[in-house]
Amino acid sequence: MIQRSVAAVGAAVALVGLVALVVPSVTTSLPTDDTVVTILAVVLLLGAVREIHRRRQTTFDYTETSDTELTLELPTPGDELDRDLSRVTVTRFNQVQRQHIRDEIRAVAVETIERRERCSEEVAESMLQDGTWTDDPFAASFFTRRPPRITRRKRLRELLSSTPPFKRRAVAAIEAVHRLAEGGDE
Amino acid sequence: MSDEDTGADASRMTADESDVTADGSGIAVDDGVRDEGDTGDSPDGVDRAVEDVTSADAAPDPETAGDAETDTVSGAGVGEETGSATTVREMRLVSTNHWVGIAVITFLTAGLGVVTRSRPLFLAAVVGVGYLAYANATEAPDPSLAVSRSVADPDPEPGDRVRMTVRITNTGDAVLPDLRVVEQVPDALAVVDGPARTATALRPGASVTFAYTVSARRGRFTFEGIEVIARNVSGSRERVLDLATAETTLTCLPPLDATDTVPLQGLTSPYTGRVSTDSSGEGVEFASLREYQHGDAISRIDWNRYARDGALATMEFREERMATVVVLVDLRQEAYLQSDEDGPHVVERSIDATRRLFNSLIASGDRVGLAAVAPTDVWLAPGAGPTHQAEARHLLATHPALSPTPPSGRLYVPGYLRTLLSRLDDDAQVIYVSPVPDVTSAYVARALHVRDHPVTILSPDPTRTDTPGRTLAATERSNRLASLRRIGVRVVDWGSAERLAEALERARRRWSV
Amino acid sequence: MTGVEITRRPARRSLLVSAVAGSVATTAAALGSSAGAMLCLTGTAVLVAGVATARHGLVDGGGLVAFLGVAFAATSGATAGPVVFGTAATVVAWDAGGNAVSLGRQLGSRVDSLRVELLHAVAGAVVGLTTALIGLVLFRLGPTRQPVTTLFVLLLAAALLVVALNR
Repeated sequence: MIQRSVAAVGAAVALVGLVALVVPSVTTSLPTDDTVVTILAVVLLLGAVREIHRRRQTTFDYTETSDTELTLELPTPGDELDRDLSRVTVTRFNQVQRQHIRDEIRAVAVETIERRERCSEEVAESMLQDGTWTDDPFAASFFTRRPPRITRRKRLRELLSSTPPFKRRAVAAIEAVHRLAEGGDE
Repeated sequence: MSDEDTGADASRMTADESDVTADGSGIAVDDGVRDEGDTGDSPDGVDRAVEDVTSADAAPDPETAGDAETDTVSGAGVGEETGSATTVREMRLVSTNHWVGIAVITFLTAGLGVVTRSRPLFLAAVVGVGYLAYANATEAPDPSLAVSRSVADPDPEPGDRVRMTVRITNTGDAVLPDLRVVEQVPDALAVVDGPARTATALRPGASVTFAYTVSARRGRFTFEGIEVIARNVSGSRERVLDLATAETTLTCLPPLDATDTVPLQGLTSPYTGRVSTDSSGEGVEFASLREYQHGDAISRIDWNRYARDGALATMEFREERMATVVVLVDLRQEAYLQSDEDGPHVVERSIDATRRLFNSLIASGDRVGLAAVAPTDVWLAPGAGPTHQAEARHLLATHPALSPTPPSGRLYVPGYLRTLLSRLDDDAQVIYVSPVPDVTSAYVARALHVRDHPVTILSPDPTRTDTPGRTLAATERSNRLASLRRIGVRVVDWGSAERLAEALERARRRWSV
Repeated sequence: MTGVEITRRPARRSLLVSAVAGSVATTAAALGSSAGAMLCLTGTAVLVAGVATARHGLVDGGGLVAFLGVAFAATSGATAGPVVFGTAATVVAWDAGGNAVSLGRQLGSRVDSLRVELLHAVAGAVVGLTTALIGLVLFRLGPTRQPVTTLFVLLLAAALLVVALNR
């Protein structure tokens, strides 16, 4: 409503102005001087600033479309652990994360040892502590928390390789557990 | 002043019509196939041409009947055409805010023009005002569309690339200067070539066609919707429509493995039911005679003998008791896994196996029921006969829980088990089809087994061993299955590359050792 | 087998429309002052970069700078024709650029949207041309030196119309 009346007034004023372009005498009676005009100009420039601000504030509301070309991606068991493993870095602030990974692998290791060695949980735990459950030194050291029993040359290679030792030992442990599980018959 | 106004009006009018007449080359009309995302060569050799079809074969639409649809049916149709009617499922009107801030032109030209005493700059304010009017002058059109889809091969083999072609016709009488179309491809299907989208401008009666390629997978997939965004010519407003179209179905059955039944030896026979018993009762096969006892059914008396010897004897029949089996499918969110990107995922395999097990068990005379561990209730009490089989077929084909997409709800398993146990007959056996991905699935199997419902597990293997995390998960699952075997549950570990019949045969050999 | 994900950016061809309009503006500005033309060119470059990377902010900023280039040229003595057409050209470039970005975001880069974009741009150009012509007519109509009052009245009219039409 207000907009309409303003538009009407604006149109009327514009008409007067356009007429005045041709017939200057129409507007000579109006009270104007440079300062008033300049003030109006400043007001307009402020209006410009406001418009720019308004544009920057508006979010673009047009519709977002879906990713229809893609299909459902279902997980494969173990994807989460892979993500965690890839995030492990060498900083000491990851102790909690590393312990979590170690616990996860330990749980499966204990189960596997119990199943294959047909022993109790305590025996399985102690085998992990001693490192007697596997031949792989890296796998063993993952649970004994002691350095692996390997030649000095191999130790050097381990230190120099780009994979963090924790990750290498974790992977070795996983593989060793898998070999143990697949090794026998029920 | 009036000049300026009419000037703005005039520009508005020409703006609306310019889409049609801007230049003689007819920007608005699109004919022929638009190969979006053109890769140079079509993957299946020949670009299966779209046949231009009249709207006459579509659902009756009085507006289109009179339209000068100049395209006609030509040649033999390659694929199936579907009808063209659309209904609006949802509509939204949105301001795009595309022109917000255009007033800055007017403000700056006028303001700077005065400050710098530059008349040309000052008069450029007219341009700003003109655009302002243009921006707010029109509303987004309400499109009236006919959509028809054609499939190059509605019965592909798994892994085939299937070309889908979509044709959109403007059946209204408004010009659609800016129409953006996004196809709704079923969730489980992937588009391997070309976006399933297009942008176009349509005069009334004009149409546009676009095509894309989908990779076929096992299953039945229905294309039933499309999303359309219609903007006005200045782009300030848009109308978003979710349209329901006629259904197009793609059915893909695996080549050799489409058998409905599977060999069942060993699956249920060790358990009570299949074994012939000698207990008395109504039955089928004559076994022996015994002395008549007071109270025996008269119909059971062997009258021939009485006539011969004068002695009353009662016939006894070997009782063939039917087994009662419930096939229980794991349809929890946790069971939706895949080991192999190219093939069916675990639940699709489970559902397929369920169907085939059901058919086989019914065919061999058992009473079979269906159930699922799912947030929604799935239960078909055990029964026999063709009616029952038809009911099961209907359930397997249409029940919403048996879907290739995971459920959104969660299930309280102990409560579910209580309900299930109350429904099961005392002598019911359970065939549990589950990937056994977690402790809960093992818990379900154990709970049923210890309550005298012998459980046989058919477990489609969801694991792989290509990365450390997955290897650990595979070991974990292997341990889980082993511990279930130790308590007497029979487990068929069904590998992802194995056919069901092979897996069952392998298991049978194991059990008979 | 997971499907081809669309790249939510305008296609390469979409850059053309904005680039062409921006060049027209630059040429118009050049007729007044080379500094103005440089500014306009920079603005156009930023605008086209915004279209290429599907960023509305760059498109807006680039458009504004391009317009300022034309305005600068006007203050340095460009004649009426280039100024009004140059202004219209910057708006066309900005409008086409914003439209291209929305198409890119909604449909991706592999959809052939050139026709739709051209239609939209041409419509915008027609509006600009018409109003520019009107501006020129007004310019020629009156005597060379307008009294301040007339300017004042026109200013007021412009302000009122803008307030009324701005939504």
